[in-house]
Amino acid sequence: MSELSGRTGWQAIDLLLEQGTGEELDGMRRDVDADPLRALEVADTVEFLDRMRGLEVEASREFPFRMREVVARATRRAWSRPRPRTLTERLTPLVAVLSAAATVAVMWLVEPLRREHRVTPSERACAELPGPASSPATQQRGDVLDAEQAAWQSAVEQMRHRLGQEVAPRLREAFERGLQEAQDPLAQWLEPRNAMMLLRIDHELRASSAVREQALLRHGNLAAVDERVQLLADELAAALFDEPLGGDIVDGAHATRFGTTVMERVQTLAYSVRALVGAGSSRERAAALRHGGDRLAAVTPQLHGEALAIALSALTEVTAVTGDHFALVQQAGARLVDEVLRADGENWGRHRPDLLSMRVSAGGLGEAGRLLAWLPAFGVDAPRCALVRNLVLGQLRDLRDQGQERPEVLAAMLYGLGDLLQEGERERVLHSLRRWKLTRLAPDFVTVQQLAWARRPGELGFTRLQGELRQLGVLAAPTSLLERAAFCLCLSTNFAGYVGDLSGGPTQRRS
Amino acid sequence: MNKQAKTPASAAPTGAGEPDLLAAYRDGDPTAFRKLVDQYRERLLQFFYRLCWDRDRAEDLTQELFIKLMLGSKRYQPEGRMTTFVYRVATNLWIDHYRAQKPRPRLLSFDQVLHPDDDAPRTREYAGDAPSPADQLAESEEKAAMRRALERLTEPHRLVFELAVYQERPYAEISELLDIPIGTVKSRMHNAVAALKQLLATADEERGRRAGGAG
Repeated sequence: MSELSGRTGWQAIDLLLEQGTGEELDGMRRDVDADPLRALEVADTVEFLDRMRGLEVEASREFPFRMREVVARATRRAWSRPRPRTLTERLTPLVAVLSAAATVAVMWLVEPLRREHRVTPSERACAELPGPASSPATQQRGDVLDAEQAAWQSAVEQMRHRLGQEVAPRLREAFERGLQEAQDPLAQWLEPRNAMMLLRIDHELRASSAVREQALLRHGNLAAVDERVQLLADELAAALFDEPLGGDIVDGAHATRFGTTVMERVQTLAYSVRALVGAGSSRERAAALRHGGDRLAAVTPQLHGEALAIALSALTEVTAVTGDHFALVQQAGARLVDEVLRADGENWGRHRPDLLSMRVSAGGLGEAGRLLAWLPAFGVDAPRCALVRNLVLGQLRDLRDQGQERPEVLAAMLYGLGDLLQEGERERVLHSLRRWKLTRLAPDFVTVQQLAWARRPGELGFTRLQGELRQLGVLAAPTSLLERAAFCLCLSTNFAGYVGDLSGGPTQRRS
Repeated sequence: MNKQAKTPASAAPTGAGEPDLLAAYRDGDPTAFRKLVDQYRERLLQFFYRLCWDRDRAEDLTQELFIKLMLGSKRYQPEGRMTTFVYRVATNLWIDHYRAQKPRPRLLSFDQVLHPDDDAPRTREYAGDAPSPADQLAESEEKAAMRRALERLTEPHRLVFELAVYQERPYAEISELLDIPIGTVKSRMHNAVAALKQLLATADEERGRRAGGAG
């Protein structure tokens, strides 16, 4: 007989908790069927267990927040901890060394045959920029190009040809610079990753109303502005819950408060989600943020060009804050880059890529610039992101040179591509922007938001900007959901975006 | 006759075929730890609560447990099931806490089921469990009786009962967790159930007498 029933004897509790093997449990059941006293004992114990299991406590309201803090801390550690290297990654240096040795040997053998052909610096740069599916092991320096790199060079030639036919001197210049620009590969990966970490920490800091109020007061603002931001964010959260998770964003079935065109819907959704991130956290809004993130994730595969950049820009923030949708951002980000750098009969043949077409708004280009700076943190190829960023900047410079020195163009340059601007150029852009007061731009809150979020404490003109932003606090909230979300972001800016400032460090170096 | 007690609302992690979330987190998956917390936080809160009868302290202990898991994940080498590991850390945390807080210098036999010195409900000095008026209103008389009955069990018996009944751990796993023979687990469980049934029956009789007296 079994150990339970044979050696120590079994009791009803053992059967009810299914403690034992299948055979032992069958034996117990047979005993119960055969012995009425056993059956009574089991019935009594069932009642006993039911009573005992009612003894539970309801968690306090703070408990979910405490758990969220632990999860946030754990996620930060996961982001900052170097991943264990796979066998392939461990072997990569060895493979690279062997490849280099083989390349040198081959070059030594074939050099006499190749003396007639000398590569230009531009060709060399093309060869060094990895193609769409390249891996470190395939990136061989030198003149021997594999099939992928040859295809990439052909694509580069097609892009160059197309740009040569267009009146787009700054775009062409940006393209050549992007090809030849040698950047620190470590920084290309590390800086975006740090930016994501800072975004997350910033969001966590903003969860505390005390921190928000302290930051507002430090900038000479009113604590009441925070109350307004929180009210706006609550309204946006409620509206986000109305947006269904499923459904095709393109078919117009859900066009109500979120706009009537695809772009309006995507923009409204993206700005609403970003406004929730910008306003800080609460339990109800955390659920809305996840809901909005899930909706963005559901529609992202349907989007291209500008709409994809705007949706992904918001989704990266959600990922940085919640850790959700990492793989989707990586995949869609790589697709966005490929859409720009793929050269075929249509793309770069009959027309420019969607993201660089003249239909794309300046604000959309700004969002794309910011997004492309972050994508390497998600594993998207950093040199290719850098090249596309250069192209986006070239497009904005062309718009500016064509006499369109509009505030949205300048705001987009500062907001999404400020780090690529040369020293003198940045000063000129800032100087040009002084012609517009934020309150006069006010109905266009998307541009105001880009201007506001482009500047950080310690930068020249930051204090003046804060003074202008203060005046926005008395404006009536716009009626459209998109403008309302952008407005919420504008007001949130006073305490967002710079952790050093929030954590009590030195604030203004110059003003 | 083979009717069995219903399982609690939140089913216990079975361990069979479960993804090892701690290993995934150790290997760099940033979402794994959130899944781990979502999966275990409610059960562990109840685990600690039924051991200390203090919600705030139970929440503190739950938070401390997850922090321990997070910090220790780097050295985590899965030898068995992750669930067993989580409960081992939880049990050790409770034992450490109990030892640090326990004020009574009495010596009790491990085979002793009940605290010997009282018929009246015993107060636990360390738990800060004086029920507030709101708690008194909210807590039904029956629940109070069950709580008193559980409190009268000695710590080793209560721990076995908690792990087996509320956390639905197999006896073999409890034996491994507490580092005691499986026979001891069974005998503690059987004794605990017998003692609790008796205590509840006495409480029911007393309530019945009071109700009869009042009527």
